[in-house]
Amino acid sequence: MNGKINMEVKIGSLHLKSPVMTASGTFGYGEEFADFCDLNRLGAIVVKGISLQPRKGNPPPRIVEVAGGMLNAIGLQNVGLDAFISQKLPPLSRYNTPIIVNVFGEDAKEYTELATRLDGVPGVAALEVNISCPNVKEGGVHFGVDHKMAQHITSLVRRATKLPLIVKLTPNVTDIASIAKAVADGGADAISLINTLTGMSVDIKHRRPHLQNITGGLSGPAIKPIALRMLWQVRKAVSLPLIGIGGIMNATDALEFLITGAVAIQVGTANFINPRATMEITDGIERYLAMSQITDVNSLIGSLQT
Amino acid sequence: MEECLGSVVAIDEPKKDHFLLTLRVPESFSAPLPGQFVMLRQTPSSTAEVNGFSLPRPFSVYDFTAGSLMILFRRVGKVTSWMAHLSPGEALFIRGPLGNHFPPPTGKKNIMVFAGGIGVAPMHFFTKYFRKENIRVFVGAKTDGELLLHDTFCEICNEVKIATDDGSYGRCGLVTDFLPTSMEPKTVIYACGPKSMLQSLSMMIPAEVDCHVSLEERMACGIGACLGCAVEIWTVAGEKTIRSVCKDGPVFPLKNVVWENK
Ligand SMILES: Cc1cc2nc3c(=O)[nH]c(=O)nc-3n(C[C@H](O)[C@H](O)[C@H](O)COP(=O)(O)OP(=O)(O)OC[C@H]3O[C@@H](n4cnc5c(N)ncnc54)[C@H](O)[C@@H]3O)c2cc1C
Ligand SMILES: Cc1cc2nc3c(=O)[nH]c(=O)nc-3n(C[C@H](O)[C@H](O)[C@H](O)COP(=O)(O)O)c2cc1C
Ligand code: FES
Repeated sequence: MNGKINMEVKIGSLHLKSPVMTASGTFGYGEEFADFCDLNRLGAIVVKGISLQPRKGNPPPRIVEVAGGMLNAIGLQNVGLDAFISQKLPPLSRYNTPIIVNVFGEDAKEYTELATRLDGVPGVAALEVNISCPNVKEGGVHFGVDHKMAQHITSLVRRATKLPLIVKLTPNVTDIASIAKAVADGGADAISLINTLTGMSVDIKHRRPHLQNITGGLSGPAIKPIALRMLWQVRKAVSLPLIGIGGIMNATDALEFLITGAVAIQVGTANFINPRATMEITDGIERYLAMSQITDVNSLIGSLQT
Repeated sequence: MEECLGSVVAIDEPKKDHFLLTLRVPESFSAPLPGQFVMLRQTPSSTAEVNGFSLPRPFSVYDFTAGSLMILFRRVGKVTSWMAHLSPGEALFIRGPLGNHFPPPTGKKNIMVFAGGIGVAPMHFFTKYFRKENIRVFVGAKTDGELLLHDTFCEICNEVKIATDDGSYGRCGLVTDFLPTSMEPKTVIYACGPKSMLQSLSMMIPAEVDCHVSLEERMACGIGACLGCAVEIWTVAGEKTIRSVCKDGPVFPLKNVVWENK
């Protein structure tokens, strides 16, 4: 739009040409959006969560629209690490945009192995570790709700990779700041937040849950105020770069997160509604900066007056 | 493929709660093939906005001629109720054409189409597209009040048979009752309708007969990105695998579809 405004931000050693990234699971493996977006304009692409083995996910119905958002119970369906590296990653190398690989595991060993095997793979710019999933070995408690487990997973992954390490937090906790501190102590380079909030919706005609899985993850505009509040709490607790996620539908929403202290933001559910959402948000941020006579997006970040 | 703006040319209600929507589309909109669908969504300036957040909704192509796209829809909930109140000149976002399409019936002798309920929409485009072929059409509905396109099919095809669940029109019973007990080798069947109809077809049609069905599943993106529209499919090796209705479908060989409790 114009050459004067700097949109470049840094997340540790990772340089992004824009603070606008995509949220895992909402942008496929990137290529799906090539018809709609100039993928080169994105700060980064975060791909669908990857596990060691392919996963089939949950039976349908997997999604349902609710007031102000949607519930999903995809069940982490993915092609598995090998197919990701051999099939999904190569086409993305055509773009001049960092690819961040979102990973998740059933136990500590799986996280370690994913991190070890992705270390040094060409085209992988960083890891985003999803800790919002059940620890199968420990009775299914989610890694991300217990600060000890969260710290343990983070430090294991830290030791297994030289890649920039982003840990993605679940909002389904009582004290997000304590989890953020644990993750920082574990050696994360950055924190992204928030993942979906667990929710439920009932079909009164058939007296059944709308989702076959009964519960699902809530995303969309409904979660934005919660995401902002958590971003604020985490900002006060840790000094790591933060990536804001949750209900960002337009540039105004994105700006709220940047002002609150997010160095970058991720666009999720909005991609389903408007596949050009990331482009329009980027344009909108640039317009806002131009209108506010701010020449560097970094001077907006964390500028919240309280 | 892209998302474009379409504008409402006309909206009619041929039967109660069933609407025929004609949209003017720009030249950039590629010509769809029978079986393909579009995702529709409101524009920020839509008059009667669907209470803020709303995902796009999938609809089959009912008809297409250069510059004009037709959708046949049933009012069932939030977005279709909003669509029922569209008026000429209003704009909609159209994403598509999406998905795969019915394989052409070329070289087949005995071509049958089964359409149940609102499943007539894609089957209309199919029969019209291949009107030069000798196609037999079987239409099923709950009741006469929900029976769609009988006259239209009669104009396109030589043979049209109707069944209603309550016998208020045509034969009393299910549309699948029309399926012949023996079929010649060059038979091909195309179908769209409720799950129960497709499932009974799967039990009645021998595996060596070609049958292609259009499936429905909840969708968020329509472009293979959200993995919301999963369906279980048998691979050649006899293993179950997951496919996306929006990208790998909506048309699948009937014998490849995995049905629950089967
Ligand atoms: C590939 C495809 C093609 C389709 N073609 C047509 C068409 O040509 N004409 C037509 O009228 N409809 C068609 N549908 C179904 C149509 O998309 C739904 O009726 C519509 O999304 C309902 O939106 P709503 O907001 O009015 O309903 P909602 O308020 O979202 O829901 C109302 C009711 O409809 C059911 N429903 C919602 N979405 C779907 C869905 N995707 N599939 C099945 N049931 C659903 C819900 O369970 C609920 O009971 C198609 C669906 C698919 C997947
Ligand atoms: C359909 C769908 C699939 C998702 N899959 C993943 C995933 O694989 N890994 C992950 O960390 N988050 C996943 N998420 C969460 C999003 O990345 C994001 O954190 C969340 O949706 C909140 O942002 P939003 O309101 O902008 O969508 C998924 C979300 C949706 C809606
Ligand atoms: S609707 Fe999103 S993958 Fe099919």
